[in-house]
Amino acid sequence: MTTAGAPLAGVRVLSFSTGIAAPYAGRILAQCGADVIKVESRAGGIDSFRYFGEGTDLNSSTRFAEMNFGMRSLTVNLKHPDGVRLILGLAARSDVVMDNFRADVMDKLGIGAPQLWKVRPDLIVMKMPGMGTSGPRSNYGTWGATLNAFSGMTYMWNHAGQTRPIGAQGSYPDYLSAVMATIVVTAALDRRSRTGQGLFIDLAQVEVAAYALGVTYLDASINGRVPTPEGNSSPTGAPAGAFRCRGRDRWCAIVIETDSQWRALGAMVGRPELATDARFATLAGRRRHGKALEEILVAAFADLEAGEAAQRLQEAGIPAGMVQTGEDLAADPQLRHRNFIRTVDQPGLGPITAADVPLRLPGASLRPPAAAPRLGEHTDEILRDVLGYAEAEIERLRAEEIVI
Amino acid sequence: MADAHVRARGLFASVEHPVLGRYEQVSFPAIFDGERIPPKAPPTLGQHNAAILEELFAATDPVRAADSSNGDDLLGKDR
Repeated sequence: MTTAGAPLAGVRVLSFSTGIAAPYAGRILAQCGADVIKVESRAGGIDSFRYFGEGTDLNSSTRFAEMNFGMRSLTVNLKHPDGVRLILGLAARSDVVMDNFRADVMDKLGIGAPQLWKVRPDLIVMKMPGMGTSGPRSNYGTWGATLNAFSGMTYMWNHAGQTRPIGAQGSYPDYLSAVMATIVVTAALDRRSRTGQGLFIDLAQVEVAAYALGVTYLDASINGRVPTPEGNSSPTGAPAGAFRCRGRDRWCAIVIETDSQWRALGAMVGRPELATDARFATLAGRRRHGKALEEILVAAFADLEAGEAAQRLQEAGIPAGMVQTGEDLAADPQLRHRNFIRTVDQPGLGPITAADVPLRLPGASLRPPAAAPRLGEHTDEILRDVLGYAEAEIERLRAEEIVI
Repeated sequence: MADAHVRARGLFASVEHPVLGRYEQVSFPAIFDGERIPPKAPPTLGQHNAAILEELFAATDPVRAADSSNGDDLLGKDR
């Protein structure tokens, strides 16, 4: 499954993963050329996203597919000693073992870092539970929405005065953690090539989210400002926000950060008199008279077509964009031009539209997203080709439900 | 920032900045072999010019390295 010329060709990763954070990290590593083996078990260890498909078919979930493109699937009963031995054999032939289970799960199964290092002393072991492997909440079960809330993101992205917090569909801590995981694994591989040493990586998803909010925490720490929800407004720009346009649920988002952008805006939205209105001449003035300004702009944008307005504003040097739906995004000419929107032929689901990884490495060949594996699809070939098991042994493991 | 779990894991660390003084900053989220990498303050403009140039010339031109204690001079600012 490795690709010659890809940056991680020849690297093998064992991924014990569910949901987004670790699966998506594995997907990125796979597209970078690594042989990523996803380990699951019908004895209580199926990736939860496999259940998001049609009926009881564990191979029909598009959510699972997009998180697990290009991996190989191995199914092993980890509650059987022979299953554990099998994994240890595989770990001896791997470079990275990663999981995003609760902190103690891998140790309880007998495949924690100490056991893994016995068979492969220079192994890179990465654990990425929601809250990390230490501290009073290390055993918390977490989902994207709870991590969003814990990190402060849910609170911060609301409008002032809302009666209850509104989350987002995006599980940002998961995606951020997947990218961070890929970075630190790559760094650990580089370090191993220089020092010959393995590494234990404790990556708490909630801390990755907090790291992304660094500026907000700094504002509190240095300036003593307690962060409060500001909705679409911005401390560095005014006006900033999304304005309703013509048509159904069409909006144009703008952020005006400089006075010259401000002076250009009025003429672009049919209100040339704004440029000389003394109230709005400076950022401070535009923030102070924010309410009056908003009323004027709400009226000005109401008759515009969102996409055209955004394009015209961009041409005048004003940061603007139409608020896109998923459909708009998939058809977006910029993303299409860069071949970012891909079609993947997923057996059982047909062609599915998916976003590529946001990486371009000129001169190195990344693998395009390839179909996600059916549950246990590659079990036999992995046992045969990686572990060197004879057919009779594979049959025994199947008969005894060690490989299931 | 006061959360007990976050504190126990040492996510926030105190940093000394030459202008801003002492403040708390989010550390790098990954912990390697049980050790958290302490964050550093961002550099003031050109703070490390002299040190970098000294290091550079120490490798290629030991004589010049001895004269490079004033990095700004080497960057041509005084000419």
